[in-house]
Amino acid sequence: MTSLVLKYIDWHYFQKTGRILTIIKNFIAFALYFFSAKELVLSLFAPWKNLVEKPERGFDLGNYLNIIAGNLVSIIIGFIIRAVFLIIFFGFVSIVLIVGILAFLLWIFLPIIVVIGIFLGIKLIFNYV
Amino acid sequence: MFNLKQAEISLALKTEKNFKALFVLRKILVFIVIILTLLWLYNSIPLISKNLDFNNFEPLYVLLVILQALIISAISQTGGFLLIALSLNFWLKSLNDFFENGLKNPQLKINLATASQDPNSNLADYLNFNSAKYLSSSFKLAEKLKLGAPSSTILLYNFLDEKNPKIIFLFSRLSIDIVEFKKLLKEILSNPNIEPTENFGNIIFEATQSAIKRGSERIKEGDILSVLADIEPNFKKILTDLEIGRSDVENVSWWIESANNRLKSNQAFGSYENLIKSGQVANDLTYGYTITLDKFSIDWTTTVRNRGYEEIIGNSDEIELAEKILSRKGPRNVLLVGEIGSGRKSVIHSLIKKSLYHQSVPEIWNKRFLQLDLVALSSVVSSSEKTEATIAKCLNEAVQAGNVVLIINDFHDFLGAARKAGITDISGILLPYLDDPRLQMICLTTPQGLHKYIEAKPAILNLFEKIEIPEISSEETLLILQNMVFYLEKEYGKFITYEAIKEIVELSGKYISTPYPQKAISLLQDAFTYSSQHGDTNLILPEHIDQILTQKTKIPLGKINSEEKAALLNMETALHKRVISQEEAIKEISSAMRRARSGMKTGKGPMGSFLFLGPTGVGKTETAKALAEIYFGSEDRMVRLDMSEFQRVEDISRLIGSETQNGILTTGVRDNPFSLVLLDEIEKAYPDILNLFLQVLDEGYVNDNFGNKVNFTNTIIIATSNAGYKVILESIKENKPTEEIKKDLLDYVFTNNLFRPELINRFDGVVIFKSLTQTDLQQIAGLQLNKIVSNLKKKKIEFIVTPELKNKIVELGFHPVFGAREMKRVIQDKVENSIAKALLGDKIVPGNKIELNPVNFDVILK
Repeated sequence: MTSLVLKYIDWHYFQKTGRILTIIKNFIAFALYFFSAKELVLSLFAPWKNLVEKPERGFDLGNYLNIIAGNLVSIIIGFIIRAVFLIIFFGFVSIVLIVGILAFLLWIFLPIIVVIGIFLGIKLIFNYV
Repeated sequence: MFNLKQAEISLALKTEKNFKALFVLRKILVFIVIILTLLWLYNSIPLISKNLDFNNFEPLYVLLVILQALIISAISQTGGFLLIALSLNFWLKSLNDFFENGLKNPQLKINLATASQDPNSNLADYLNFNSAKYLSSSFKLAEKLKLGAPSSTILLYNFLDEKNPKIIFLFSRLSIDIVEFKKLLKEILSNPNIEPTENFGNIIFEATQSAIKRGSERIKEGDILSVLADIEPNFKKILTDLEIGRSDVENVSWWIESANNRLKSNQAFGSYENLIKSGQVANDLTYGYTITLDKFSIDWTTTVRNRGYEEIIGNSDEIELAEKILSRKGPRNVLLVGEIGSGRKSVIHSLIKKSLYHQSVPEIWNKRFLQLDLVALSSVVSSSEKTEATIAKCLNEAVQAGNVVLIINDFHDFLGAARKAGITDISGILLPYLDDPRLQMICLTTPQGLHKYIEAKPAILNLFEKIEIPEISSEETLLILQNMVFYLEKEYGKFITYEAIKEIVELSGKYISTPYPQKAISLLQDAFTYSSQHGDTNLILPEHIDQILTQKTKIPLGKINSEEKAALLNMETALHKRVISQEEAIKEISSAMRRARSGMKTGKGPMGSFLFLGPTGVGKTETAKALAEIYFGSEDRMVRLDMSEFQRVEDISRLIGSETQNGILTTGVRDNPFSLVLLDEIEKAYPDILNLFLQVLDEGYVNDNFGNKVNFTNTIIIATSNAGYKVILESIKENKPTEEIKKDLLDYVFTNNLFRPELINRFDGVVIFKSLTQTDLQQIAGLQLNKIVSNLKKKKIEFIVTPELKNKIVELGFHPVFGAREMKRVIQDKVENSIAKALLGDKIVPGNKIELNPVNFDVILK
């Protein structure tokens, strides 16, 4: 019996908690993959869909300024869209962390929660007898 | 060391009953929780209707009222019971998990391979739960039977658990009735004189080795059963009757284990592999537009993603090499060279999977694999200038986008040499892009396409890294088929046995010339279609596979049936119906056929190979034709080569093919692998050409001009020659025995350098055809005239062949040098012509009986 209890404690507090932490880690890794977070950060200031114009030969200030303005717009659009997705990514990661930590705590305190539940249940039954 | 009682798994065995009782309790609790929840909700309804203001339906207000009512009704006796039931339920659920994942799978301190070498390690620690359970029952039964350790029969009896899905799978795939088999073992075990015959320790040791070979950390049911397949007499006998063995039991057990592991990993919650299957949402945001390319391309990445996760089998070295090429600096172009059906596209599928799931090098992560559909593009775009401009635009977009791997199928077709409708020469447009390190490209071609078209454009070829895709092994093909089986079974509602799958792999390997795995996959699909059309049973058995392949190839496959047995046993008689005399030759050929068909043939060469030596017109070619008809079903199944046409060294390419033509020999045998190869007048061929046949006769294959192996193991090779026929004629005059004639002839052949000894020695038999006697010739004349008799019989005319007529034909048709060859012409000129004239002149009408005048061949009405 002692051996069985020790095994249960080992499983509950070491093996299973390790598994919960792995799942949280996997969800965060998945978020990085799903939102291509690394690529978004690296290309945050890159033009949208690589749409850039290059100046033609010869110097024409008006044309030059036009091209610079056009490319700037492409960069700004790219930045906004990628930033929006990065914000969603951070939101997702925050939810994963909150839910993950709650699940972790719930599991850690499960034996106590079960005991409290039974105790409260008994109390409720007898209060209404 | 093996001590089950001291193993950690024994705790699970001891407590199984208690935990099972707790699981039953949990099921009851779940039911109670449902009832109490309904009761709690029912009690809340009056409170809700009491507190709710029916004039105000604001959602927040309604929600608050409902919540308040639920809380109030929860603070009651019902609520108390519900809370206790829920708490107990959680606790029992966690105990359930503890038993299933903790106790049943105790953590291992060292791996199985190391433990198997360590005498102090207890191998019982490495048993999975079911194996431990069956072993424990075996020990109990052995103790009851007063045996020191369980015998193989006791072990097998306990492992035959009709409730274990893995055991059911294993035995049903092997087409063994598990219930009947268990009954049989029970009867055997009821014999009180049972003795242990095998060393129990050896069984465990071998099962451990099997698990290690499988790459498993646990010794499972299949590992022990596969050992028992080799030593348990009853199991061994059943398997022998089914013509399978231990390796097959091992294969099926590995099959179920791998399917089980795949299922488990697909269901594992929160695993990274499962999570990333949902794809990516923002990947395209960092790359450029490919508007034109999207219009004229097929997206392989989407196809692969939709097909879900499939195991990668075979060609791992080629996949790894392709990854290296695609990720290196400089030109990153791969040229996949392989026969159609060799798995070139599977290599790309595997690359895509690895790219999707980030299992490859980072340089090919998140790539879009797009096949440029040049045929569709040419059909949509009107002029060739526009086509070229559109292709250039597509290539430009692929470079600019930064995440495209471009695929071109049948690349050789687009390099200008092939003039087909809808084909554009892209070599000029492609060249500058191939040199651009930003473009990643995979092109597919065949060995023929490579040699014929791509090698003619070295500037293009130099920018590619060539990867040859070899044919995958039969073992890998078996795994691919096993993975496909579940889907097909579900689709068609049929069940295929392991023996049938094995038969598919073996027979397709032997009788279909295209490469693995496609030929085996096609045959598997055919088997399901066939069985759904001829569906009197839901089972697909090896005999069904034999039937399908026999239909396809006209090769008599499967177990020798009684009709075929009779044909083989009476082959001499059948051959003699067409060939007169030549008893020795016919006997030798018939024996070789019987050896081949009964599986007695050893060595790698063809089924039979013979050199027929003898004067012309004595029946050498006729014997070959008769054999093709009797054994292969038709004279058409003969690849006939007149070797006098191959007298120059350049003629080798006509035999084995070249860039401009197919090889007469190699293509003939590849198309008809089950056929007779007749090499007429072999002595006239160029000596180097004969060297080619040394390998065919020895190894049973030859490589064609493109390096593809052509298999001759299902052919009969007959070479004929009249070299040294004078020696035969003289020896016969001197009445020498056959053996002496053969010796004289071979001496003559070697002395005059007509054939090299190494060629002669490679034939299964050198058969001497003797000159025909007068009686033989009369019989031949009779045989040939009989054909006319049966033709006239159809017209209701009776033709009487008189001995005088036969004698006249022999007289006119026989020539000492040309043998009976002229006889056919004489019959045509004299007999057939005369009868034809009489028929056309209405001299003969149906119902007549006729004879021919042996002098002038006039028709005589009788």
